[in-house]
Amino acid sequence: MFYTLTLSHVLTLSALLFTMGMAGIVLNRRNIIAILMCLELVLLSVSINLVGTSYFRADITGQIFSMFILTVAAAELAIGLAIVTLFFRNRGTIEIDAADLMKG
Amino acid sequence: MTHLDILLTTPLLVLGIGSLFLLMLGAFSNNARLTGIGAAVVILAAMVQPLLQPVSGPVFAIDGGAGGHLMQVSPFTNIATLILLGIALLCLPLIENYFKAAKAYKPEVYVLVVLALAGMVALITSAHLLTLYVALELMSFPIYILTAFLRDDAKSSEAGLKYYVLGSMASGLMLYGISLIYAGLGTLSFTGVFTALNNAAATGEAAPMLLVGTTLILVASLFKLSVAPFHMWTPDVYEGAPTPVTAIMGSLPKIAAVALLIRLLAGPFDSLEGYWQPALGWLAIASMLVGASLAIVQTNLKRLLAFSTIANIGFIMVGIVAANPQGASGALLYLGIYAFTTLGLFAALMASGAQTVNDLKGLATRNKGLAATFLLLLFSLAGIPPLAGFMAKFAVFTAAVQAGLVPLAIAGVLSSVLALFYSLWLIKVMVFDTPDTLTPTPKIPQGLNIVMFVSCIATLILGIFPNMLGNLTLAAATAIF
Amino acid sequence: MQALVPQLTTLAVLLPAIGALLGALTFLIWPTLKAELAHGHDDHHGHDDHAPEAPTASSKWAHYVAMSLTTGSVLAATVISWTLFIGLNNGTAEPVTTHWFTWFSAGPWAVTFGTMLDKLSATMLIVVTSVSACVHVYSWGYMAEDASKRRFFIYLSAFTFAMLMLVTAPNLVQMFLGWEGVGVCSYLLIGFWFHKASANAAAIKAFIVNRVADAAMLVGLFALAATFGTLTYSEIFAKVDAVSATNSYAISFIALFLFIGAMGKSAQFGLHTWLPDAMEGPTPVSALIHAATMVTAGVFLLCRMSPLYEAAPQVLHIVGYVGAITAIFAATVGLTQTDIKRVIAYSTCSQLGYMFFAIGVSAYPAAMFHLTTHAFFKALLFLGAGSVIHGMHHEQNIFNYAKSGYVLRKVLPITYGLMWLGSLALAGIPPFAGYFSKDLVLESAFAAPGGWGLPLYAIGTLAAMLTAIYGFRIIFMSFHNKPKVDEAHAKPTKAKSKKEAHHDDHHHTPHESPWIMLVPMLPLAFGAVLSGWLLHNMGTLEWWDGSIVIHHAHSALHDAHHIPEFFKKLPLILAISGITLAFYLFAEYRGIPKRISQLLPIPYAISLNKWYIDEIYQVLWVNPTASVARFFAEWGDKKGIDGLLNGGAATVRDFGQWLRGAQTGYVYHYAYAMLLALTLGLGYLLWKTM
Repeated sequence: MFYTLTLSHVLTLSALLFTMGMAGIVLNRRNIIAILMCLELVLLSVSINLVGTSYFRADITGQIFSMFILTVAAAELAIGLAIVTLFFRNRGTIEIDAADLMKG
Repeated sequence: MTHLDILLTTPLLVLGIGSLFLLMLGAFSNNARLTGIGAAVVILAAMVQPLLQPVSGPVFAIDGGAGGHLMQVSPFTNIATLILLGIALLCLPLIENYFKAAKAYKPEVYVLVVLALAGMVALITSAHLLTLYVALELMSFPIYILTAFLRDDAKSSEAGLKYYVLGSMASGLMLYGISLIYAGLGTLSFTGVFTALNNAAATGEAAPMLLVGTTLILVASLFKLSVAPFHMWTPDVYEGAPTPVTAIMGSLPKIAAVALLIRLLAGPFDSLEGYWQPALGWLAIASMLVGASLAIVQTNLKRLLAFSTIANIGFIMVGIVAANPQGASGALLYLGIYAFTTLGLFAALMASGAQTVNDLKGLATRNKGLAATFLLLLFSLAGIPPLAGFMAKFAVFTAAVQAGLVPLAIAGVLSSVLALFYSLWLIKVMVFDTPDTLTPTPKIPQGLNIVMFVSCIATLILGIFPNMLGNLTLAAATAIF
Repeated sequence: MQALVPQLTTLAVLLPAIGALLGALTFLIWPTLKAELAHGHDDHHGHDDHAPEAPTASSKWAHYVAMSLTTGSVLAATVISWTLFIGLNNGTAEPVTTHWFTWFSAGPWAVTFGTMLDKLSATMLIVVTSVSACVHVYSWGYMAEDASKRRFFIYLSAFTFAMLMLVTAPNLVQMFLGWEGVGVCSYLLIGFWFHKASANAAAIKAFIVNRVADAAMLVGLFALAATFGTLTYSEIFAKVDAVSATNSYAISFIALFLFIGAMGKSAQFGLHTWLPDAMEGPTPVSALIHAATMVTAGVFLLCRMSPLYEAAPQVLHIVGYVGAITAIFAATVGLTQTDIKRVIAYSTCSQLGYMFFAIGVSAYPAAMFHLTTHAFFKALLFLGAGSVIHGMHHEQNIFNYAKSGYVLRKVLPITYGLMWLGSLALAGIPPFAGYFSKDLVLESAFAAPGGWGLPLYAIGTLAAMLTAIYGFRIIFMSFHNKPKVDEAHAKPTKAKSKKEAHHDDHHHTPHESPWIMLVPMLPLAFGAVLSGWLLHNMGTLEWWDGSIVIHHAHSALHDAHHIPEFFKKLPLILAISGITLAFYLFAEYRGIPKRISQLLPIPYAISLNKWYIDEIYQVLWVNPTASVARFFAEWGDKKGIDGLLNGGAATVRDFGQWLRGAQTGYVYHYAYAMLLALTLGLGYLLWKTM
């Protein structure tokens, strides 16, 4: 049995991915790298949304937007990894729980 | 679009090209101070165009073809840009001494500041959600880097990490919101969204998807503004970041974010006023309360100033929520005044060398001038007339009353009593407590002196002649409503 | 000329402010010197470990730059003020109101700043700037040895600015700012020698008594704003008739409360207690603030508000009686005081009483006329007294001058002569200034319609005689001792400095003051002698060009010239007999006053103890207030308010501490908080759409 793919399907898929990403950030208590991956997951869900909409609405803007996201995300990840490296250098760990020097 | 109209975007062009130029300058000369001077020149050059026609200039939009306008220059963006760049100039002298002491005085600092400024100007002038996203990231990335700039400092890299993770998460939320708006409306330009939302509102209920999208977009700017409850990162990042960066973070992105928020609410999301006005009103009250009450229990001065920022953003939100020209004007006025007051306070903080509240004990006996500077700026921050801070609060509360939001204005006035609490507490510590040590404070670097002096003078002058800035912001705000 | 008037007015007002600011900037270039701090530290640590350092070259510059800037700016303001005054007088300049800027506005209300120049403010301009200029120059000599004299000059100029703002304000808000400004400067200057406990106490007393009056004044201003909807003079005056027709009670209320405010500043009976104590300040301050300018602010305010007061005749009666009581009260007290400055202070109080009772009979021009002449001769008297005090190494007791063993009229011949001129003017002897103005005041009182002013006339005339007696008591007691009496007393033992610290021990003999102190007294002497004659037009309503308004039924001033000749001359006769009496009592037969005091112990005691006002207040207000305050401090404050406030503070702190718990430092908690808030917000929004 086959369903026709509609915008709703795309949106639902991306919503699931988005929720997974967000949940990953909140629930993950171990690894900073995993957080970076979850952030990528969020960006991916957004891209799916944009490209899907672009297709169904026959509007090019969404595809251009996702190109921008890819580019910016690369820069973002580079900065993120650099900061994680710094953190590792200073603390010898990449556990997110270790980042608790400042609180209150 | 004529060839001359492109001149109106010179601030962005100058800052963008200027940052690349500064990168070269820094790389080849390896002279941080020279780069700093270059940065000042670039910022000054970027100010020329908006200065020529601050409020009389035309409204000009860069056309993005079928996608709609990408950027829009208007009197409002001109004034916001001018305030932003003026404050940025005041930030530069803070940098040298601190980074030298931390053995991290490199040309890149200035390059990153100018890059972030380019992002902020782009953010202020953006007229399309794509531009908005790129601009927001261009503003954020350099600040992430600056926050973690002290490589061997655990706190600095931890602050960078926290800011990065939460900032990326906020921009992820915003992106998702944008994608929902796109899915719902099929357009991303401000004018397109405005028309589509208006039509949606005219035909019936606003679709939930659009509301979710709008909320998510707003959350990103609320995060940058550190409005409670999106403020949690602020104290930690303020504490860990190098102090000049904290000062920059506490002033420049706030200006850009407030300008953006005002433009979003007066522009594309205007028809949803019934939804966001009460919600943002509550957030304003929450910010004022959380900021003031958490500031009192702090011991670290940078954390204290972080909560002070949160409280002040609450007051600015009162002006924004009023959703009238007076409110937007009041918010801009408040922001300008708040920004140079905060910079002055950070300069005084660096000059005193104090880390914790206890370090300030008896400062009045150790260094009268410095204590007097603190006194003046804290009084202004607390809203004591005839200092500038009073005029700022007066402006936003009047706007709220004019918009019929009397309970909000009352809540604001009551919160300013709370806010008075920590200002007076600091003053009490400085003036009445016995100092632990009687050694005079070390000689104050010239850069800090300049910032404190300008800040104090501006506090006094704008307190007596608030219309010098107020007339400009009102003209600017009237242009977008 | 006319085209420049607004700018000139603005300049005249702002110049002293600029001078004070530039003077204050010297502290940036030459920070506070050790010697300037020395006194301040004494009080804190109770011992003197800061020997005043010898002035170095740069520290001298610090003082001289500040002094030149302030003095120069005030001198320039004086020249401008006279130009404006003469222009207005000749008709080459017109009254003009200028708008500087709007401070802020809320709805129909706008708080604006500007200047208003008319005959009334021009008169005050010349009085304030002239006396201030003389006092500035005089202080170069008088304060020459003070370690922190630049501070003194900065305060003086700041005071001058506040006073000029008070008199040139076009609205009551700006006027009130000036009003409070002079209050603050007065506080600072009375307490200038802050290492002296008595000076501090006097400064605080002056401030608090004035606060009491200012509270009433604020009530008046609020009532005024509520009734008229504006605080701009011109708008108020335009509405007086309309408001008076519907709500005359409100006008009386406003007039009364403004008058209470004026009573405080002008030291009228009941609120006068601060003025004698204010003599703790340096003598130039007494001349400028507590004789010529600030204390006349109340008189000025009532004249400025004349349209309002004319609509409140009952209040005018109160003003008249308060003025008369003050005049006679202060004159009786002045008879027995021994401190030269306090005598003159009570004299000021008494003369201000004259001005108020002139206002009471609607003779505003007479009041302003007397204000002007009084400013000259009273400033002269104070500066003369300062010269004596300076020459006698800060000895202020006139009995001790007699015991000093020196004949002061020979040691201080110029001061002596100038004091004579001032005293003659004070006593109202023709052709000196006081004669013209004081007689006009008394004649107006006599001519008040319905004869209600007759008691005022009687009191005023009696006070005029007492004025002559105490005025010349100073002269004769201070200057006319006989050297032979002093053979019994050995060398002066009391020459040790009682006031500020003197470090030059070679000055033990009394000496005439330096020319820098004598020269500025000359213009004042000129004014004391000739201003009554030169400015006699001030005594007519027409001269004021509408800046003063008198109801046509209040014809006292108009009829003043038509009273019986005897009553015109009576004050003069009494004054001359007063001087003669003073000569016999205090120069020739010095034993008599003592006998009189023994014969009439009760009146003497009353006078000597200033009618026990301070003691009465102690019992009536201070003690009850203190016990009420103690009660509230113990029960209300410590247990109630403190409990509430500390409780409030503690609540806020607890709240903060509790919220702090949320600030765990873990990134995922922060992210969770954001998402939680977002979810709640979205839930709220979606619920709203349903």
